[in-house]
Amino acid sequence: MIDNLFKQPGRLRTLIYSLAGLFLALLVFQAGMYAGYRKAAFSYGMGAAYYSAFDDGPGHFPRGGFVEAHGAAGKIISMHLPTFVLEGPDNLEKVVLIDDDTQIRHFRETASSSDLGVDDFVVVIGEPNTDAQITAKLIRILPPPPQQ
Amino acid sequence: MEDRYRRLFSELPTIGAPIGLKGAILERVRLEERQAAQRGVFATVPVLLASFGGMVWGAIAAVQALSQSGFGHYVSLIFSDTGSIVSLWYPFALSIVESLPLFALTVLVGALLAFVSSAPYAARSARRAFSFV
Repeated sequence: MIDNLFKQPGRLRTLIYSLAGLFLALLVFQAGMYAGYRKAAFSYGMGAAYYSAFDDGPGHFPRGGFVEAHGAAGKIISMHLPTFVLEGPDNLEKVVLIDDDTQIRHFRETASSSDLGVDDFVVVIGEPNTDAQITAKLIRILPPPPQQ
Repeated sequence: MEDRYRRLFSELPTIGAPIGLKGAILERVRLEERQAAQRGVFATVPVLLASFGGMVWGAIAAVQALSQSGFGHYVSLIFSDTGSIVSLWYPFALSIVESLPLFALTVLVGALLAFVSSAPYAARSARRAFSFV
């Protein structure tokens, strides 16, 4: 297949242009993320420096990039309805808030928040709120992964 | 004037090309082409090796990062909760984008681009450089 590709300059050119376009898009997106991260870290540092004049100030800005804010997947490690804490495969803990608009699904059925429990595996899609929680729009209860 | 030239050339003795000149010229041209192709191979081999290394590193890093993020779980929602995902397309799209290992994917695609761009040139150069016909 690769040999055929190299024998057809038109196809090869299309492939190269497609890859170049994708590479450029990824590069621009990466640059945007980097610039956004630097700006956010700087703004956070300014705020932290301001508040440290009054007390010890808040913690540190997370290193290594942004945390996923519109979704989470992992195991429920504590329940305090209407919130619960989820631990993902990256060992990050996220607080998820359930509100009246949250859809909870288990297999083909609609479930309720009382069906959720510690050690359940869930995928959450939602939106971040000002308390650094994810306000869940959709929670899908999954079967536990085989290795767990 | 033209007549003079015509007469001059008609009276000059005919000079034949030395025997084997054509073959020697062609041989020299072939040698030059082969050396140019060898230089091309030596120039593209480091690019190919580096891009191959970049592809391997990018693929491993991307797979590791994807397993650490919820990307696979989010994608599975497309099949299990299609209707909900259509209505929640905005947070869903953002969660997909946020879970993508961007750096590893950029390295992978860049390395793939370098490999695909240089491989045909390297193959053509190698064919010319090491053909003894």
